[in-house]
Amino acid sequence: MSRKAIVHIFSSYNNVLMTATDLTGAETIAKCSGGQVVKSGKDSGGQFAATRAAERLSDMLKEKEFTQVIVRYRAPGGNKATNTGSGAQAAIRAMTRAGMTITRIEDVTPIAHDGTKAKGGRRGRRV
Amino acid sequence: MASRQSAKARAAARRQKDKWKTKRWYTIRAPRHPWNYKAIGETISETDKQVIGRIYELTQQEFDGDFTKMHVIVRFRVNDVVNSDALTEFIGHHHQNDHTRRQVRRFRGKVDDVVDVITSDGYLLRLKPLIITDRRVRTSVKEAIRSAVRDVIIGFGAKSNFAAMQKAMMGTELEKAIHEAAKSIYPVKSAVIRKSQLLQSGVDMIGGPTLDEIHSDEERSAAEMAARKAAAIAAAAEEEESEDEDSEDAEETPAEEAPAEETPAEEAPAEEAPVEEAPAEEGPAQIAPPDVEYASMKVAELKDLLKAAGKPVSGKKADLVARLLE
Repeated sequence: MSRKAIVHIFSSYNNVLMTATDLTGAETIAKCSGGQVVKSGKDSGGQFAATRAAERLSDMLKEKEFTQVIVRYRAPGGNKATNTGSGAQAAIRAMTRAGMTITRIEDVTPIAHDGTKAKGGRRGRRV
Repeated sequence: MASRQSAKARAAARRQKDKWKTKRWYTIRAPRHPWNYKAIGETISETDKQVIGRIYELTQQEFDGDFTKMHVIVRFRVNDVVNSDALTEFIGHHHQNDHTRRQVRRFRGKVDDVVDVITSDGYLLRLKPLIITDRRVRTSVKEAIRSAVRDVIIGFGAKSNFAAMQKAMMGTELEKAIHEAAKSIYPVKSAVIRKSQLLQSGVDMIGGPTLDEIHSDEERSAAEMAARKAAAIAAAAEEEESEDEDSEDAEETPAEEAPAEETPAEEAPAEEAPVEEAPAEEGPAQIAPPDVEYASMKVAELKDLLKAAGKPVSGKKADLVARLLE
């Protein structure tokens, strides 16, 4: 019996959050994040962290007999960055390598159709 | 510090696991009309109450196997729970965003609209048609297309009930009607219902199979499948046996021209041959009684007879019998 789950991946530049739910999205099955698997905070949005987190998530899913997943990834979106961090791709790849069958990949980044002004001011963040 | 944390984590994991075990699975079923409570997925929950209101999305390809509709996402909302079945209602569909965006290009006209429809049984639906024209069009043409399409959709809704409307939206019926209406104004590349939403439910009047009937149907078909599977396995086992013989048949084929060398190769399958060939033999045996005695003979004996008659000795037992009867 192989069950199907939805893996929601939130990938920003600073972290990768992954939550596996059932097909209605209402019931959480497992969750993991980049910050749980690396030591320094600055690495938690990177590819290595995403790979480790995805492996750990796949293990948790397999334990509960989920082998098929639908991936829905997103960037912060809204009035923030609409590009995903480097973690999303790595996480998806790691999940296939861990033996999960991915049936569908969807981009669910929220797109602002108007709204408030992004933070940072007129001339952007000055670093 | 580290050990304390891991102990805490372990305790948390145990708690979570226990909670997982208390939950049970529900089969998500499509609405009665027009889909006869078809099982479309499953969900997990602790109580029935928590299942109600959940929204289940799946592609139309997953729903009805039509792979030309893999960009269409169908939405169902659970509104009732009976034992371990979560009954749903159709609350709309939409096309995947990237699919729509691929169609809209430079030098093509895009006609978008929002149409509210009331079906004959009082359901209020919002449909969003999208028409892409072959070339860039003027606003006046777009307006003409919009009003023509709106008339078609509202007319269609007034004539059909909610179930028929669902079928028409997800099939090609409504899209064809829109296409026809728009085509007479300007050449059209594609005409689709990009999105639909159920705004308000009406009253469902038509009957249909009950959930119990569907359950018994499913049980029956499952039993049938099991029986068929068993039969297939038995057939496969039999085939395996006959395959042994086939391979030896293949060996003998090149030797056909040299009858002297055949004999040793053919004697080997002689014992098992009659068993496998028996079902094949039934047909001719009933029609022509004289070959009954041939049918009961072993392949090796038949081959001896054939050789004595100076006929070729290759082929299955049925062929041998037929040849002897000539």
